[in-house]
Amino acid sequence: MKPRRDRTALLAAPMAAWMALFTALPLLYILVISFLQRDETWGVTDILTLDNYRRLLDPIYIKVFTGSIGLAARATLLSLAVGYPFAYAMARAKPKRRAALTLLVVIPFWTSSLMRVYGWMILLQANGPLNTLLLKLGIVELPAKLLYTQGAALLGMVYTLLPFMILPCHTAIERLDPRVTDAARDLGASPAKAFLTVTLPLTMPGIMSGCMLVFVPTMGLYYVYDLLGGGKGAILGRVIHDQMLSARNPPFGAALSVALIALTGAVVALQRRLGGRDIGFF
Amino acid sequence: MGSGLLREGWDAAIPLLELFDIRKDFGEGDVLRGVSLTVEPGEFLTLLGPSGCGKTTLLRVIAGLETPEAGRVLLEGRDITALPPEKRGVNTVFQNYALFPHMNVQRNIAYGLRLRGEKRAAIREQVERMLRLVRLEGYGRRMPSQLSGGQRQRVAIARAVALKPALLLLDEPLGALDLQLRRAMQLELKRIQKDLGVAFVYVTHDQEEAINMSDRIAVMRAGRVEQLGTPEEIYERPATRFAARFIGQTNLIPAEVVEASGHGELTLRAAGVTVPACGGAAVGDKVSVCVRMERVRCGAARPDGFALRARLAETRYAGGFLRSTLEVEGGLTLEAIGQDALGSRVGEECFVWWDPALAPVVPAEDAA
Repeated sequence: MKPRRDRTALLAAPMAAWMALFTALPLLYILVISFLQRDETWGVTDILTLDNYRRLLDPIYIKVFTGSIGLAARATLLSLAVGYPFAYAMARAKPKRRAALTLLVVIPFWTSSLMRVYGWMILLQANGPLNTLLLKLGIVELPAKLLYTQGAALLGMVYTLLPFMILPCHTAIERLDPRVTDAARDLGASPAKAFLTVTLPLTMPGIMSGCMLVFVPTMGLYYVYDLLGGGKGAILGRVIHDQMLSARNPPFGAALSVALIALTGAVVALQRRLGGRDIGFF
Repeated sequence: MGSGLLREGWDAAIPLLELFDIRKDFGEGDVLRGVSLTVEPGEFLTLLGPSGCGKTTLLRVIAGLETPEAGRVLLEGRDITALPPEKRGVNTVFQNYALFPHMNVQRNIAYGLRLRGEKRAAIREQVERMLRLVRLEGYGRRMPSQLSGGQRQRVAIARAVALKPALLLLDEPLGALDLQLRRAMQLELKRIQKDLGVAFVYVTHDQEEAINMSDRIAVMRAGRVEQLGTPEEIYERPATRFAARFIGQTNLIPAEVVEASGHGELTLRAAGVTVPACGGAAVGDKVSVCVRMERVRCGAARPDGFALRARLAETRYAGGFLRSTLEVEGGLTLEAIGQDALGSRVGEECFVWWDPALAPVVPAEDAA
């Protein structure tokens, strides 16, 4: 038996090597330089320091963190509010309609997300189609400021990440036997009660993975935030980018990165905790 | 039929459940095309039919999980057609049980009681009583995934009867169990039904289950009730070829009525021979004579009265009994089953006969 197991492990070897080389090693590098001092002109010196981490406690950066978490939380909740009902409709639809709905979710992946964000910019700009419509309908007298707002940034985040909420939710809902919900109704539960006591807890793993898949990337998707939000306020991904490439302070950028990884790690751990408790019985 | 105790205090004129001309069309072939029937308090009624005949859909209409396009559902004389399932006071044992996988056995059984807002102590007591009823004492804290199929089945029953419904609906509850367990559970279900005095509407495609357990059987085909009666009535007097074939093992001999006595005695012409049968038919009618396989008699000596010449073509062992194929004069083939070998050996000439009073006729063609 043992030799066979060793051989199947080989199948994972290329990926493992890839991950080690291009994920684990760079992460280690980031971790190391986050404890070093920046050099006058470029790069790092070999002086160990905790200054980079101390600087994270600066109110400016605290604000970046809370702001980023806030945005990610709003994007996640909004995606859930839009995505879960959609996923439900998809999972309970007849095969033909389900295929059509699945296509709707998948089509965006056929073009680059950057292109699609440019599309949103055109839609939302001052003389764009949406404003033209609003003006024509007499809802506004002057073109409304839609682009370069927090709302536009949030919209872009939700738009970009929605499929990552829908797909895991869909999988969880589809796996749920509709008769279990029928049974709840049959035993006296109103539709809302049946949803809360049966459907929701039983699809929680899907909700949790969906939330993870939206929450975590939101912190880093700074191009969406820049293009639609006009770069006002700063999100973590943007600040890391700036520290690394513009401010030429790799150690501080690295410290920010480590903090971001720790934060997302904490969220994942929290999800594991919550997710594993009541629902691991499939 | 049913328990006399429970009927006391009932207005005898009001059946427990009445269905009037229920129609439902999914647009996918699974339809109900006008079903009417009644269920008496404490009765065990079985909806029997092949898959796709609409029996599960009918059950879901009674439960309120499907809305019929036409027709009315009355429970204890009250029109519940438009009521959602949670307001009907009817409970269901679902196919494959549909237990709540995230709740242990106790919480599964207590689910409906908790929704009703009953007191904690009362709930605990009722849960214990239900566990005793289905003989699962001590299993309260197990999760459904830790139970065997038969145990899950019992939990599903306990959960459904915990609310003390007057009517329990069961959708192929034994379908997922192996034969031996199924037989044991048949008796168990019957016991529970008697203990509680609750009426059962029981869906199955298993004729043996239907005959063993039911007070009455509704044989369903293609969205209609083909025949409604006691197991004995359906067995002895099938209304259609379909009903005759679906219950019991039967020979159906196409024939034409040549003589009708008026007392139900018939003489028919079939494939070049003349055979007797019974039933209501007029001279010239095209019918099928229904001769149950175990009622085909065979012997080397010609009996008094009706008999046909035949040759014993084949005898096969069929588990506890023998099944024989008889080639009858005129080109007819009959199947016979019996405990013992027929009085002849394979290849030998013999005589075949049956009791005409036990061979009813059914219309030659079933309605579409």
